[in-house]
Amino acid sequence: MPANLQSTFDLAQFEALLASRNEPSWLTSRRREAWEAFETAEQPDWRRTNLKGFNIADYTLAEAEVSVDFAGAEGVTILPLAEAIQSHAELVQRVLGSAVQTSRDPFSALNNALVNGGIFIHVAKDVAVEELVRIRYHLSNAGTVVAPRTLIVTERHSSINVIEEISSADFAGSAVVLTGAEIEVGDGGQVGFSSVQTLNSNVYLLGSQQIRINRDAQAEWLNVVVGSAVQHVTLEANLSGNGSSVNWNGLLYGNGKQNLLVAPKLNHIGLNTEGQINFKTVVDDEAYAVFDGMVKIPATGQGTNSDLRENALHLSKNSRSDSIPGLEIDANEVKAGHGSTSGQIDEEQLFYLQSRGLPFAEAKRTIVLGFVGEIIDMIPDEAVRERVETIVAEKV
Amino acid sequence: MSANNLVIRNLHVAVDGKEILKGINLTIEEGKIHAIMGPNGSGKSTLAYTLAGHPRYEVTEGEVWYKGQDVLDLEPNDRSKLGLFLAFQYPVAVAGVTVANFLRAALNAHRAQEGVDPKSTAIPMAEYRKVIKARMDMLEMAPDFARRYLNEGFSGGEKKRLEILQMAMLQPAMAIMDETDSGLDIDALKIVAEGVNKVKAEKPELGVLVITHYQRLLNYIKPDYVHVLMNGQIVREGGPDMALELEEKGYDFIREEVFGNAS
Repeated sequence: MPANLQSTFDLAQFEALLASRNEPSWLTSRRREAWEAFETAEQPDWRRTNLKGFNIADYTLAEAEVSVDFAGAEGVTILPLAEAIQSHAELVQRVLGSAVQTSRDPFSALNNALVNGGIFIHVAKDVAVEELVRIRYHLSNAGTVVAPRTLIVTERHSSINVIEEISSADFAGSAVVLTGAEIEVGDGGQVGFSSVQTLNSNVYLLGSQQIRINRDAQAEWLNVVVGSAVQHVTLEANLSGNGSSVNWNGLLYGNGKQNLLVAPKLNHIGLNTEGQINFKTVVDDEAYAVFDGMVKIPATGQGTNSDLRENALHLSKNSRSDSIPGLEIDANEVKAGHGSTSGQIDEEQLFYLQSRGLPFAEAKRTIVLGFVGEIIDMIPDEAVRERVETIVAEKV
Repeated sequence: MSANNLVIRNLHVAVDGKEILKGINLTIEEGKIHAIMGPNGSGKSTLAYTLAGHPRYEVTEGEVWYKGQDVLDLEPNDRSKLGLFLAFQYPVAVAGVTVANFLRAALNAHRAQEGVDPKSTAIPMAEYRKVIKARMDMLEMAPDFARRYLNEGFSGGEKKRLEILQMAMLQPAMAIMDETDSGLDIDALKIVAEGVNKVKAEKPELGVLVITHYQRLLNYIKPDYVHVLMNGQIVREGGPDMALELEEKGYDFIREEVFGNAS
C-alpha cells in the first residue's frame, strides 16, 4: 500500500472493530473486501484535488455526532444505520455501496470499510411525508476520521423531503469526513434531498452520493458546498425508470485556499426522462473549484430532455475554477443543452447598482449574494439556510 | 447662476480611444425640462453615461459642475447621492436581487452619513414598506413587482417603469432620461411619461434632461428647451417648437446647415 495511505489501525485492529460490531456476515465480508482494496490501492490520480500533505494515517476513527429532527409519521421509518442493518437487512444490503463504490478509489474503499453512524430512512408505499426530515452530522474534534452514511429508500407513490448537513466545530487541526448518500426513489414517488456542507476550512471531505430514480418518479436534489479545506465528491443521478425526472441545483463557494470539487453525473437510462442541472460556483482569494460534470444518454434513453448549466464567478486574480461539462449521447431522439460561463462580476451590473447610490463594495456584495442567493434560497430548512448565509456573508 | 443647475463645460469624451463628445457646452436648469435630440451615433448615450460616471467613458477634457462640485471627480454612487439620476436606456438585470431589497439598499445608501452607524440612518422596515407601496400605487404597479429579481425577465415596458419607480423612490434633483422611449409601444410610453410627470409635479425643482431620437416622447414630457446633438456637439438650441420642426424635416437639414452636406 502506498505510504501515505497507511492507517493508524492495522488489520488486527480492523478485525477487532469488526468483531465488536456484531454485524451480519454479508456486511463483515464487504468491509473486509473494502479494507483489502484500500490497503492494496494505488494513490488516486486526482489532478484537480490537492492532497499534498494529506495522510490518512494522521487520523483516528471516530463517530460523527448524529442528530435527527423529525416528529415521526405513519409509514416512515428512521433508524440509526447500525439498527437498520439488523432490521432492514435486505434493503440496506441492496442500497449500501451504490454510491460509495469500493472499486472507485482508495478513499471510497476506506469509506466502505469504516462506514458507521449513519441514518436509514424508509417510506412505505403511498405515504406522503409533509414534515421535512433534518439530519445533521457534526464533527467536534480534530485528528479524527468519521464515515457517516445516509440511506433513503422510498416505496412507490410516496414522497419525502430530507436535508442533510455535514458540519463541524471550529477547531484548528484537520479532520476527515468520508461521506455518502445512497437514495432510491420508488415508482411514481418524489424525494427531495438537500446536502449542505458547512465544515470548517481545515477538514477534508471525500465521498459520493447517488440517487436512483425509478419509473415516473421525481427527485429534487440540492448540493450546497461552502466549507472544508478540500472536498472531492462524486454525484450521480440515475434516471433509471421511464418518465423519471430530476431537478438538480448546486452551489460551490470557495475562498482562502479551499479546493472544492463536485463531479455530477446525470444518466438518462430510461425512456422520456428529464434532467436539469444548474450549478453555480464562486471563487475568491486563492480558491480552486471544479465542476466535473457529465450527462450520459445511452441508446436506451430515447425521448430524453436534458439541460446542464454551470456559471462561475471569479472574484480575485488568483482564484480558479474548472468547468468540464461533458455530454455523451448514444440515442437519436433527444433534446440536450448545456451552457457554461465563467468570468468576473459584470461591469454593467456594478455600474447600474452604483448609479443608484450603492458604494462599489456594497454593489459587488449585492451582486455576489444575488448570484448565490438563487441557490441558497432553495435550502428548505431555515436554520441551515441561515448558517450558510452567515458563512457566505463572511466570505464576500 | 444657481449651483443647482447642472453646468457642462467643454466636455470631451472618448470611448476605446475614439472621441465621441467633442466639446459639449450645456446648462440644465433647476426645475426645467431640457430635451437633447439627435440622430443615432451623435453621442447622446455617451453624454448620459458620462454624466452618471460609467468607467468605460473617458473624459479627456472639460468639467461638469453641480452643487458646487465637479461631478467628474465623483464615483457613480456619490453622484447619485448628490442628486443625479440616470434612467437607463438598457436597464441591467441582476439575478437573485429583488426590486424591494435593492431599492431599500439604495435608499439606505442615500441616507448613510460618513462616520455614522448605517443602522441608525437606515429606513425602518415599516416605513419603507409604506413608501414603496405608495410609489408603486402611484405608478400603477402590481405588488408582486417588488418581489421579482431586478429586470430579470422584464418586458421593455416593465424595465422602463422600474427605472421610473427608482426615480420616484430616490427623489433625485436632476434626472437624465436616456432614450426612455426606446422599445416602448405608445401605451407603455404614455405610462412611463405620466410617471415622470407625476414625479416632477411632486418636486417642481427637479431638473430633467430627456434624451431622445424621436419627438413623440416630447408630446408627453413637454420640454422647456430643445438642444440638438450631432457629431458630438450641440449644434442647435431652441424652444419646444424645434422638436416639431425636427420631426417634420428630419436631421438632414441641420446637418447640411452645420456641416455643409447631407452625409
